[in-house]
Amino acid sequence: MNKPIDKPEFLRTLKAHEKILFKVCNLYCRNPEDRKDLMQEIIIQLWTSFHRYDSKYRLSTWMYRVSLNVAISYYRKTKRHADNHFSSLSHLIEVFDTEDNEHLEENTRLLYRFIRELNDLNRALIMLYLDDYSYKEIAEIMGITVTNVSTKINRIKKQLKQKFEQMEKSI
Amino acid sequence: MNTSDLKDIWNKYDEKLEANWALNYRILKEIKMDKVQSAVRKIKTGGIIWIVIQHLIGIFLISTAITHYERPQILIPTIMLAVLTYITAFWGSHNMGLILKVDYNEPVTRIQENIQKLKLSKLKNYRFIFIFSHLYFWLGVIVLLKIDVLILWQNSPLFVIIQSLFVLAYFPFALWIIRKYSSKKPKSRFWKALEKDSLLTEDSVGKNINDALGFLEEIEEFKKEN
Repeated sequence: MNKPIDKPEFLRTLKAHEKILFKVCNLYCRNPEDRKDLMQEIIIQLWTSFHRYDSKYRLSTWMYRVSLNVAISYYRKTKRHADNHFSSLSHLIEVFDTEDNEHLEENTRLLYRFIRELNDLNRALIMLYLDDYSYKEIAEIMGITVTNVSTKINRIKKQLKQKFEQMEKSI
Repeated sequence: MNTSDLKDIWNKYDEKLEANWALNYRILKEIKMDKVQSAVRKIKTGGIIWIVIQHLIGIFLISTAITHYERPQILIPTIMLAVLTYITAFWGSHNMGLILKVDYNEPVTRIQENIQKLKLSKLKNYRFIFIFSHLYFWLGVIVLLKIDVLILWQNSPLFVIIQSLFVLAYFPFALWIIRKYSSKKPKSRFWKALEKDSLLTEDSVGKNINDALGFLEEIEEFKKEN
């Protein structure tokens, strides 16, 4: 039997790490409505998995792991959920488009666009790297070896740099 | 551009995030999250009920087979029906096992593999049911109404021949429909309408059988150190 979840504690955790959710939703969904739906699904999964959180990991690591898992599964469905049990949550989320947001600097917008062009697994990898997670933590979240993380991140960084350089040249 | 430049740009993005998103915690506080959790539980319960129903049908068929062991005209269709029922029951159990394995706390590659395997398995299961549905229906009619096929043949051979031809013709028809659904070629509006929310298409279980296989390969490739 699962132990009852402490709702105030869950909400505090959510608030403390909400940026993780925002980042994941922004990078995995283009459409604002899809982003809201994805956010709902992530909150539901975080809630249902909360009692299984293992305190030997950082809370943010656990949140990233759950959020990325939900986002990648969600991202791979082209169809919007017809049987959404959780539509009641949609009104609590406000979302704006990062790509079209005029307050963002050009470089930020470009980085965001280039990351979106990566495949869904590499996207998760670079997001964790840019958020200062160690290779060991990234390896644990992704389920691959530390060496593999290092190789892949170097490759992605090179790709991103090349894209920036190409963009600079074209201007 | 170096690594720290990338991180600087990312951090600027991070700073702007709060201005772009808002989660209303007051509303979230009022939502009965337990109800949400029970909706998730319902999906699992549905799967378990399906398996139990299949097993009950199986038990009924076995008892029918035992009762009519001296009448091959009833015994053979009953055994055929029992075999089809148990194939779907075991497939259902296999899917249930995969559903229970889906734990979003696990590492990304492992959980994504499980999800893709589940999609493939469910899709194959639905397609198997579709292909054999016509045969299942007629076998069911024979077993439930205890129709003696030999007597039926003696009384109305034309009826038996026509029905048998329909059953046989249904297999290539069902396979043709599945092939049509799986085709990557552009589809007419009629086919698109037919596909919508069909259990045979991948929308019901994810996206596409080829897509699921492709993603499994992608995960394998991702896990390799190269």
